[in-house]
Amino acid sequence: MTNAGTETRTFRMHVNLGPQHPSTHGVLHLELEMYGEYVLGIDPVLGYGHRMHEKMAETRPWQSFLANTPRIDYACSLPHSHCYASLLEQALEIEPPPRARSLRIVTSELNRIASHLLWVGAFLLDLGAFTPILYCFEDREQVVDILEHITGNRLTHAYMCVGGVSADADSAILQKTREFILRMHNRFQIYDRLVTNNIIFITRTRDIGIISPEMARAYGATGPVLRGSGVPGDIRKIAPYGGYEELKFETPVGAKSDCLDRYHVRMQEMRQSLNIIEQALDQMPDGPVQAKVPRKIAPPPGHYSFSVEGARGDVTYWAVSDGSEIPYRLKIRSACMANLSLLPELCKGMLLADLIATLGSLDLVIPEIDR
Amino acid sequence: MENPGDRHPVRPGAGTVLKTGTEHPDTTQGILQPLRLAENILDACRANSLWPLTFGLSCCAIEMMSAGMARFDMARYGAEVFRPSPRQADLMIVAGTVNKKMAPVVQRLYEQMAEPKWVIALGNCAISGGPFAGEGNYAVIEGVDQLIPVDVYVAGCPPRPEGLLEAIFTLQRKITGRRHPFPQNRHPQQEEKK
Amino acid sequence: MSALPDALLQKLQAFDARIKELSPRQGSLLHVRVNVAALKQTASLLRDDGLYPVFMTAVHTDLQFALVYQFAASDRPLRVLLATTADRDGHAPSLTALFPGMQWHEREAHDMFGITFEGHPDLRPLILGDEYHDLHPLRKEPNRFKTLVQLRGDDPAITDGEAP
Repeated sequence: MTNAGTETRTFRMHVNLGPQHPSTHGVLHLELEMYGEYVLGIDPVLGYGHRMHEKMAETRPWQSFLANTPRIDYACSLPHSHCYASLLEQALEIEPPPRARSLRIVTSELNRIASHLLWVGAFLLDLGAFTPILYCFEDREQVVDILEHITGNRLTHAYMCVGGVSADADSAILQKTREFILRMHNRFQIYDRLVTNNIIFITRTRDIGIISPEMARAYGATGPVLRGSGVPGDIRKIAPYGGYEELKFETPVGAKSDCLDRYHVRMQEMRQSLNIIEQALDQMPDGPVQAKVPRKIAPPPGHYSFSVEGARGDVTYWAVSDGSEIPYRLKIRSACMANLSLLPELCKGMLLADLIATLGSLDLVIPEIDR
Repeated sequence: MENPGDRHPVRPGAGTVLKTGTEHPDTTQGILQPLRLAENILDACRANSLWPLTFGLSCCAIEMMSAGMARFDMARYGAEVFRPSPRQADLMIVAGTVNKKMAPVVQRLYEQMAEPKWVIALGNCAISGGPFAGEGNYAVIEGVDQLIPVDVYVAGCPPRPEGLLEAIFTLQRKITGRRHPFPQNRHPQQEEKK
Repeated sequence: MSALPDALLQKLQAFDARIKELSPRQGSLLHVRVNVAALKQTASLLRDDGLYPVFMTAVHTDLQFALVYQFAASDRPLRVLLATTADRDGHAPSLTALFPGMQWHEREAHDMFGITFEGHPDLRPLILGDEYHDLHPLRKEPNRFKTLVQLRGDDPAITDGEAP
């Protein structure tokens, strides 16, 4: 197809983005149908990170699956463990002690901050900025130090257990957490100067990838994607669990539903998480961190469901028990899967660079989609 | 963290066996001596400037990224320049679980890398399938060394970023015979390990 | 508990649905069981009420596949678990036209169980590779089946026939 007068020719091409590519989403494979720089359509190919979690749940005892939950969404793994442990507690009618509830909140919110910091760095790396990721990872290392001290692991924490948490946190590390909160509040100035008011960043993300609330709801998109579209849906507020009902925090929402709004929502969520951690530390009672749990975990026959707010959205586990020590069926609802499923409809007619920005703003962890 | 490949034969079907970078047999004499010297210099240069391929598959990828960031800083040891294209990389760090759908991709990327090339298997999944290996496994390849030859194995789930740094040192020793090819990389308080 | 919408309950009764209100630890959960013929109308009721699709999955029991859908509201603590059964040869209607988000969940159920969704625009394998997509890994071996009664527990209010 020749453009008369300029001698440029534009081709329709089929291009593979992934499964190995420079951005940091993991093994995402998009088959792009392109017309020059414009995307006509995409076809995500999934399954490169499939690790058989749901099948593994059917072959192991109930409590053994708590070793799998950190690996499902490894960037923000504690909400998944929280969800599964709470599902079993609901089934067995066990109440975790108050200190365990506070510790669960503190560690989950720290994990949320670490996940959002990872996202900010990776998103900006996708857009071509090499500096912010260094600052984000430095702050993330501060969080990971605290989590490593409490949970024992830097990434796949596996801290929650049925009836509470697996280890107590001493007052020294809780004091260090308070110091981290103060430090982090100051660090946001760096991000504001470097990123938030940066004209290149704003131009790359403003009015890009606009997701309407109806579209978000039709596809089941939740988390910052839904909140960036102006819908204040947050399970910690709507259907609180595990101690969140006693805490005061706000739900940031976006106004224009573009990539820039999703960035602002996540930055504000980090500030709100710091508030939540501070309140939980103030309220933390002394006491045991594990409730009495029967020797054999065998929920009565029936089905059980529990939902939490992960860093990426609504994480729901649904389990069917036949009364034995091994689950009959465990369904893991991945927040990223719904978030990614709206991309084929959203991306039609976008420039490739805008597709990368939109893809980054959805905050995907592919092994959570493939499970 | 020794490479068990030194003691075990490579499994059949694991791809072309190219034990590049291992100790060269010292058969050069006389007029060919300068070649040995040139090879040593080249080995030291290669070891001090390994260019990894961005190949994070799952959880271990985050620890690989952490190792490249400010705190653990792989750049001190020359391995900071992550290349997205296998044509420009000489080190493939397989960070994460390789499953059957991904296996042909791993093989193709390995074949696209130019010689000399090395592979680090980072994490339990890349070594042996990790927590996903076992009965009822229908999707996970139990160890990336079933597909491509591996030079260094780093155990852990996930291994700490220091583990990856240690893997770089082990690989550098494999390539050059010395743990730190250049003196400025040596830890000031550490004895040189031969 | 005030999240339960009476208007919605009344409309659901029109579809011969067996409804049970569960009170889990968070919010409220409405368990609705319908015949597969009424699935689409029930789902469109839920869509008109503003619920978003949470997940869709299946359970392999001795008779056939039980299909389970969960929907949730983003402004009130209501979740609806809609359960039905696929027919004898593993076919069921697709809800993709009502909820575009169901498209990938149904593809995954097709991969994992082998259920065919009629009206689905694109029923290719989603998660499994081409070589082994006939594996249908989440199907149970016949000696590991349980019946719906065994899975339901002591729940005499909802009797026979349909999904858990």
